[in-house]
Amino acid sequence: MAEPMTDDHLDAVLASLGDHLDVPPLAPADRAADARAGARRSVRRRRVLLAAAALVVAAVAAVLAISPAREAVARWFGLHIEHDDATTATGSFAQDVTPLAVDAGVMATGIEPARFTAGPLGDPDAAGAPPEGGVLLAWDDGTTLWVRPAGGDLAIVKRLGREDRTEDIAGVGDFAVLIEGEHVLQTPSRIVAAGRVLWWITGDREHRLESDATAAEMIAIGRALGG
Amino acid sequence: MTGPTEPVRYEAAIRRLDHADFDALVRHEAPGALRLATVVLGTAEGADDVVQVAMERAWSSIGRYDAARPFRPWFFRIVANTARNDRRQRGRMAALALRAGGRREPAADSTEEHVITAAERRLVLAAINRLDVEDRLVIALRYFEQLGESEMADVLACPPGTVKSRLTRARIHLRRHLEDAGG
Repeated sequence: MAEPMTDDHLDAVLASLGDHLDVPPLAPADRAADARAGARRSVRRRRVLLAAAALVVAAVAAVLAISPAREAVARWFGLHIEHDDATTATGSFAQDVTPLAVDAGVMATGIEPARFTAGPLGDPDAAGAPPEGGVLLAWDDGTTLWVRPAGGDLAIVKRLGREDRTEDIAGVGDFAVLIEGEHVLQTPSRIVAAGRVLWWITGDREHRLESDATAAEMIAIGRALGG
Repeated sequence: MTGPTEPVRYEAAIRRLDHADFDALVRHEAPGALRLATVVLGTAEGADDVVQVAMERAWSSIGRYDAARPFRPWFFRIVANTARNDRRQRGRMAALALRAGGRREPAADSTEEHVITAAERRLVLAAINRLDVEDRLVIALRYFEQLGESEMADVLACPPGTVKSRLTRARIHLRRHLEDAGG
């Protein structure tokens, strides 16, 4: 195209695209009723989300292309945060987790159960033990909290894309950092995809909260749980 | 996020939104939900499953729906979050493959003042495919679903002023990709 589109014309093209996007068919009349029935059936199913995830074996073997990290921007309590666009991930952190009773999971975090009940998230819906150690709690909306002993020999590397960023957060535990943007979490066990994360230290424990909540909501959650 | 006054509001919402209402609302919003899931996933594959899960989540949490507010932004927020989670579980290297199609189209389309060709749509769609997921979501909410700033703010869980800046940023990125492609 010789001439760039004007703003008005670009707006018109964008507005027309919605009707032309290739989307799968859905029979909404049937699906709505199915959804209500499914929701009733799946209350228990989703409460054992982690249990199910732990039993799922990845059907596709992903090829991981790992390149040397380009730039180290932070080294903090055994957590290495590096910029690296090339590393790819497969699966989520909630996979390969051994199920635990929710009450036992909450107790293992060392956080008073009342803090969950009274906090913005409420009580967790599932709990499990990830292969890296510690305990993982999960909520139905996809929020997860991983709590493990701080420091130690475990090497955790956050590989961030160029546009991802980190921010020190005051008032959450003893030390906290917010990581924005989809990135890769690498542990000795696996390389998984991750999203917005609030990571903080309280005493001798390290906490990793991942959620689709806003940054402000996550900080409020961290403050409610982290003291 | 729940607050101290919300249980009362939830009860009111449950009373006011019965099965028939929910089915009718979901039926009305399903086409937009499918578009939104497709845009966030970057592909039509699995978008129907995402919408089905979002419907289940919506019904499960219908008590949190404030019936005094529009249903569409509330439901779209659940759809967007469900699609984000699904995409994350697939890994960040999910291929972006938004495609034009969906309806039989003539070689050229027109609005009141603009003649739009299929080639232009393909060019813009290719540029959208190169945007990151949050830029794509903002573009889809504004242009595909025709949401206003206030409704977009509800979906994106951010202030209306932030919506404006995010939309501006997404358009800048889109322009850059169009320029790279010669459009």
